[in-house]
Amino acid sequence: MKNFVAIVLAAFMLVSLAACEQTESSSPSSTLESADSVQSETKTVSGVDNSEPVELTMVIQTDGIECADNAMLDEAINELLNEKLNVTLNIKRCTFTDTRTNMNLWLSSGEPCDVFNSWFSWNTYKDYYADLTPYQDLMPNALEALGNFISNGYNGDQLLGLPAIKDWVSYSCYMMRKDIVEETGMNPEEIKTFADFEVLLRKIKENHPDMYPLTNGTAGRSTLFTSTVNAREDGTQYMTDMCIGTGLGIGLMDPATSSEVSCMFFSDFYKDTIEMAYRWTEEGLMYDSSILNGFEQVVAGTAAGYGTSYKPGIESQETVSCGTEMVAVCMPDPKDGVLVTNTNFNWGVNKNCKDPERACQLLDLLYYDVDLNNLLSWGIEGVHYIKTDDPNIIEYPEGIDASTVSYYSWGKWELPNNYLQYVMAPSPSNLWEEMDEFNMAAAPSKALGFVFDTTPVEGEITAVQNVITQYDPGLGSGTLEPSKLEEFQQALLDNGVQKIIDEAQRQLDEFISNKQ
Amino acid sequence: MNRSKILAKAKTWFPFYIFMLPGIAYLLINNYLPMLGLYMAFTKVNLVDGIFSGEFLGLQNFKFLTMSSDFPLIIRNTLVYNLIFLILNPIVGIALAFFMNELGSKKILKCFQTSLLLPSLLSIQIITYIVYAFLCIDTGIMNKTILPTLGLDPVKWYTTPEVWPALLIFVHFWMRSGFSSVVYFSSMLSISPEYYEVAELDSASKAKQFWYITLPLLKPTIITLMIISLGAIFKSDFGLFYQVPLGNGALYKTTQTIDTYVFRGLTGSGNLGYSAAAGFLQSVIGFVTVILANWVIRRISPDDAIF
Repeated sequence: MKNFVAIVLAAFMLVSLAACEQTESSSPSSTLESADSVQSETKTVSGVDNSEPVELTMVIQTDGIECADNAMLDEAINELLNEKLNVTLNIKRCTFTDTRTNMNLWLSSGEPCDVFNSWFSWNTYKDYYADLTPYQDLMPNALEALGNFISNGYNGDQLLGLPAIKDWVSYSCYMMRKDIVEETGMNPEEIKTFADFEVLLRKIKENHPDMYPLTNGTAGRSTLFTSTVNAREDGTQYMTDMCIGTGLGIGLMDPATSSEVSCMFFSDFYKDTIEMAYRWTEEGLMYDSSILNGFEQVVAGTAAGYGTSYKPGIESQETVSCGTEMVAVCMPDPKDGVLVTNTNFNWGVNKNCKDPERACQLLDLLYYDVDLNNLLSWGIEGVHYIKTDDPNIIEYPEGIDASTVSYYSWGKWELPNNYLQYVMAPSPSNLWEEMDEFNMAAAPSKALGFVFDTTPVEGEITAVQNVITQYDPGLGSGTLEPSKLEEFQQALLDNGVQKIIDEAQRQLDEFISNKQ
Repeated sequence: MNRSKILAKAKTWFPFYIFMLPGIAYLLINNYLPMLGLYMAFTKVNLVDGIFSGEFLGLQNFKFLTMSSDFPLIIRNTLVYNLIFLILNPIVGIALAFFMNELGSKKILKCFQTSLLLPSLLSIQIITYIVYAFLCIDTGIMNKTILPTLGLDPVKWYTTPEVWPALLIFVHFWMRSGFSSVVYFSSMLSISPEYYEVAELDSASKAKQFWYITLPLLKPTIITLMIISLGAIFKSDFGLFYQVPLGNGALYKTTQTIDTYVFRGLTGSGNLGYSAAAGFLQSVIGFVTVILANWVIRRISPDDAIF
């Protein structure tokens, strides 16, 4: 009997080992329909020798879900790339929550990671970007598409990355359930200050006493974006430029007009906001959950709205996640935009890439090729989407919707040129025009293009970071008494925040004088 | 020794060395080889050109820990928690083992051992959520059911630092005591029952038997385990101090240790030199403590010292 049990257990172990091996799923071969794309103005580079086949790796973020048709798409993309550039592309999909750790591992262990993206304020990757200045001739289309914005890709004299063309102006807004807002009779577009917002929240609480009117966007973060907005005398808000890294709350309080660096946590606006947050939480108008995301709470019916970052199209996007129609209460007003430094979302080429010329050509292709962009974003025409009468709008084929489609790209917002992507109904056809208006209307921050070198003050940054995580989430979500603000400010001073501010000011002044 | 004797010995022991080979290879690769990376604690780490290519900085990386105004606090927290664990560990473990020993039935013994061991198999994330289920402000079991029944007001658990030392110690022992009790239990089993029979003939009470027979014979086990855990005197269980309080900043006074400080401060800048320095410091202090403790034990009762 014992022998038999032992043999059975051993057999189980062997079977589970075998199951660990990944099996290649056989995917049907697809034919790539050539879409009539607007390529009349693309520039071709002469004198480039693409006769050698090259293998490149590109990193794209996903939400962790493995799409059934990923292999099919990879084949289709490679067909296109083989034809145009003689390149075989290996797409590395990385779950966005693990991007930081994974990228660190891949880059430091030398795994092939030729074309990838990040924000420059993530200091660890900066060393891995190759200087693209010698390859600029290979990327005429990208340079033309970017225009002056290319300055965001520079670090000193070196062109380290190409900024992605996407929603550049980042805001916060509060996504509220449309039906509940309509019940209160208030118009979301007229809510411009926290005072107005409070009126709305009170009305919601009256109508629905068992629901929290406002909650956090991401689990564990505070709702009110206390460290990235500032307000004028009349209470209308505008974005600050946290050019030293958002976590520290140090940056330009009035980015369009002044280049003075200071720390958000010492400002009057912060003081007023946390007192308001405390009041709201005590009265049950606001609730921050450590483990649930905002949209999950709306789906569960325990919350009426949450804070998130704004961009055109966010309302339709959040409507899908929440399952009920959502409307955005935008504070600050989107038309009051500021182009801030942290829009440094750049695509670059790895220093260790064996064939940087081909990689640059690939980057260039991403900036103008409609087919490639839509393959990456939406899938294969006819299979994952179909075109409509409007040349820009696409929709799902019969019987398929957003939840059942076998390929989707969560990370399509990070692709180099969002404007080339088709627009999925019901988003408006002129989505990208709106976004471009949005971007261009924004006033540029004085620190645009500035990258802070943290080396002289790294110890202080570590200490200040700890102090901030100790107080800010609690104060911002109204769970810590506002009287702790003095302790917080004193702790910041004790841990060297002034040194960081002075160093940042010094570097910024130098940067600005060099720019001129 | 002459050749034939050496050969004969080799033949007997050779298979055993072969058996040891995988273990030794693992030890070398996993534990000794990475020690070379300690060099990173003294340099400005530059991973692009390799681990050893950074600019040599001497002891500068070690200063970052001292720059925080909370430095005495984090040292105090780490040390005090570890000392409490050190002292309570044998007490709880032996108490549980003693009770297990007194159980008559083998079946009941197996039930208890299994249920005591189960929490140590749970991932710390699950334990975090179990604690959350108890301590959540409006829907937790404590605030909703237990405290009202006792006639007390609900407590904002996640923003009152004072309760957390007791909570964390409780959670720690809930997780780990099963494991240590098994170790002590097996030591207890090896005590010859003759001692107990003689003691009963002399009409010694259970307590006296425990104090004069069981404890002294358990002394080697206790001392060995203590010295081993002294090696980690400066480290802390990251999951316990960061995850279980849900990373809540309001609880820093009583839950911030060196490991959580390093994590919170460095996830932003990713400075590997700093974190290597912190880890190095922890290991060096643990090493010195172990050597000292062993020396002290050797003076008191030489047989129990580890080396």
